[in-house]
Amino acid sequence: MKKIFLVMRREIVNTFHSRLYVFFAFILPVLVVLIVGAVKLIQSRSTSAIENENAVSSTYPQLNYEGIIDQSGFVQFIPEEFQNYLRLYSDEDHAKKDLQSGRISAYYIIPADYLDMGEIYYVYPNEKSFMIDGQSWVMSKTLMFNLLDADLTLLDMPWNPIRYLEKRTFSPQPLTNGFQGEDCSRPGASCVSNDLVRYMPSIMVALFFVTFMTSSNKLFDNVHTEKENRTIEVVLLSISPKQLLAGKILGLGLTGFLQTAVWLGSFFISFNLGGMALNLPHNFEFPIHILIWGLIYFVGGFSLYANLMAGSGALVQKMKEAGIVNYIILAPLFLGYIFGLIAPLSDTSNSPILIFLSIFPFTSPLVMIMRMTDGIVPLWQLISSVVLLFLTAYITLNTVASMFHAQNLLSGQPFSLKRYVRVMLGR
Amino acid sequence: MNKLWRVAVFDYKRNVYKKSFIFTLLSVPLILAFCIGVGLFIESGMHNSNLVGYVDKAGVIKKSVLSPEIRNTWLTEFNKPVEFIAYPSEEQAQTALKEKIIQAYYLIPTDYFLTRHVIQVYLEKPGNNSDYQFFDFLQLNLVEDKPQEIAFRVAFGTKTIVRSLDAKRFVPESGPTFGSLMPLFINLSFLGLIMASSGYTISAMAEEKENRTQEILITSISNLELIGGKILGIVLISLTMLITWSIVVFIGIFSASRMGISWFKDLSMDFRIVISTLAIALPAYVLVTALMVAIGSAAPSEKEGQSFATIFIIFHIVPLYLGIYFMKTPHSPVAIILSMMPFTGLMAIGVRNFFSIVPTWQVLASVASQIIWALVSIRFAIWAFRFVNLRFGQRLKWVELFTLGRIGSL
Repeated sequence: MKKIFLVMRREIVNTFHSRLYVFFAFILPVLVVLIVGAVKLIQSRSTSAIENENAVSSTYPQLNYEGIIDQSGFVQFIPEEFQNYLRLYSDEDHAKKDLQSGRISAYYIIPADYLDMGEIYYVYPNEKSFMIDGQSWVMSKTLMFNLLDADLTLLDMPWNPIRYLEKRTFSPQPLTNGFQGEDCSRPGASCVSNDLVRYMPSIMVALFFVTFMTSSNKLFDNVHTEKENRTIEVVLLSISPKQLLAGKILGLGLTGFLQTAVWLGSFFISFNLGGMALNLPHNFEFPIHILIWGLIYFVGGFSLYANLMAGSGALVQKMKEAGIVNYIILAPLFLGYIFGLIAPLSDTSNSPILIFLSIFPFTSPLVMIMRMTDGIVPLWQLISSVVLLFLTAYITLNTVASMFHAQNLLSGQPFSLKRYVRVMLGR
Repeated sequence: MNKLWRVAVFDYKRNVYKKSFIFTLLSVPLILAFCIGVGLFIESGMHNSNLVGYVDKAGVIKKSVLSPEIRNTWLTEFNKPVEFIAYPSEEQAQTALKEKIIQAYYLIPTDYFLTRHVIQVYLEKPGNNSDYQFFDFLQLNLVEDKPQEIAFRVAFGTKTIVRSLDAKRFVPESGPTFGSLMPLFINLSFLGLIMASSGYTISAMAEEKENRTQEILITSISNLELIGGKILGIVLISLTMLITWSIVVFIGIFSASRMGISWFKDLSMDFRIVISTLAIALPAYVLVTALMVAIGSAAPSEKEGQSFATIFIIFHIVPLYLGIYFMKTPHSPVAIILSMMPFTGLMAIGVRNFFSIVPTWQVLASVASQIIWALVSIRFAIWAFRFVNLRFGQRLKWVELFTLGRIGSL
């Protein structure tokens, strides 16, 4: 135990001497919190001014003045509510001129075949992003108004046939994220109106992925360097491979854990205290249980991948091979990363494949964190996932420790996946 | 010139004639294909074509049999559209749901015309397409007394296509086409190229320094020939990768287009953006390669050089992480500054060009900036190489290397 502690202490001291680590682990998160705090302070001072401005604004304070070029001759009427925001032009040149002079913010072209094709063109100034929706709904509603012969009483019904879609399920477990309609009190896809809250599960996945990658790569480098300069052979004379590996994993794990904890803490402070600075909804709260489970998954995930990387570090002969070896070993993590990143964006975080990946130990540290941030995960899934993860980490620790023998360390053979698996299986 | 060529060919053969190179060659298109595959797979899981029931207590649905035109439109939009079945009572709908005859049912309450409140009941979350289709279905029935073409247009609404002022860029409501994403893919492949070749570049210099071959080499070859040969060799390796990736990608696109995947049908692209991307990417690539050479020749070990190279790669990725910010404000001061800077310029212009049209002056300024930085970095690489050779055996501080005044005085 004392030897494990000695190895661990040495790894921690070495890591803390790295300026890059100190910068990314401590300085950068503190800077993030300071910036968010400063923005919040500035915003809080200007809030009263904004409130006064809003008080004098009209019915549609956000609407801009836009033009219409109607080549179909279909637009005969403009609804009263939009008459101050839409203007008809006889041709595109005039509209373009007004757009460039700033008199209108955009214009629509209604082609002659509109009724058949249903397509209209929305022309922005070049400075505006093509991916921003703008206010095309104003034109869509105006067109529907004309389709219904300017019948204002009839318009409202087909324009919005469902005001409230209530969802009921007979399922024993909440298979959706458990929330009805828009809910911005916690992160996830159920919050449609705030991008940051909506994409928070993906942000969590990215944070964990980067942490696993950097921490496990550090262990790979560490083992490989000691192997290259022959220190490991000397060290192994007085310490068992398991003690060496456990000490290294604990030391580097703790520094990685600290880095993740500091980043999660800075997220927690920024999201909860800096709500206004980040334009977060008033009722938003970053759930504390995600932090606790996040740290559990960090320990399990890091132990698993650190073991695998340490094993490959022991077998790799040249640093040049490291890139490919890292690709192979970290491939399942990458798989989890891609699924974890895309699933919350497409509202499929509770699909069967994602449930499987959140229990499968090689992908669970990322996918489960994403699912937990996105919604409610049944307890049995959480427990089985954690048990499997720690069990796999323990098994890999034993098998990788068996790799730390002279015949592997001194063999001089190039790394191959076949050899890696063979040695892992003890053959 | 002969010696320069020999160095280039030697470095090329040493790196390309290896199994690991095949892995590097195939990894980028495989990762790209995997990401697209995951996206398509997840998207397909969001649709469910099983039957959907409804219980109409308000008497809204008068026309439950739909015209072929409407069915065809749904077929185009949803690939496998759902069919709606009417149930006279909620109990019957519930039974059908529990027996899994239907994936969900909608209940239209008696007070629907007052409240417009609709209830969706399900066992497992139904496909997103059922909500969209039911919305259309309701709209069609609300205007069923209107002429067919009017009712059709009311239900299927207006599709807004965002168009650039010069009518050369179009972004449909359904999202960007593959053709409009192509320039961004070119940017990403250059980023991949920089990442993949950085390892070769560092090791090209560091390995010979580590095993002391370098000192023997410079007795019979000039610094320029050695550095030039190595850079040429790496450019050839990169070209091999780029050509292979392009072939694989084109085969993939051709196959997808033949298989009828709609996203790959519109391959039209704005060639101004492709040209501007290449104009920035080439000097940006030279800049990084030359800097990697400098680092490789100055680093005490290959490992230290690699870790330093990672910092350059992180700078390249910064604009990708600012993607959402660029989407909302593609012409903000931060976006413009990052477009002009070395390392970030390549991806910043690429991401901004995807969301908007970057003014020509900014593209030209970025190209000029990248070229100037590339030329400076080539000069710097040669200086660094000479400087390190003169400091034979001594450990070099990075600050010393980047103090150009001292290097320039050599």
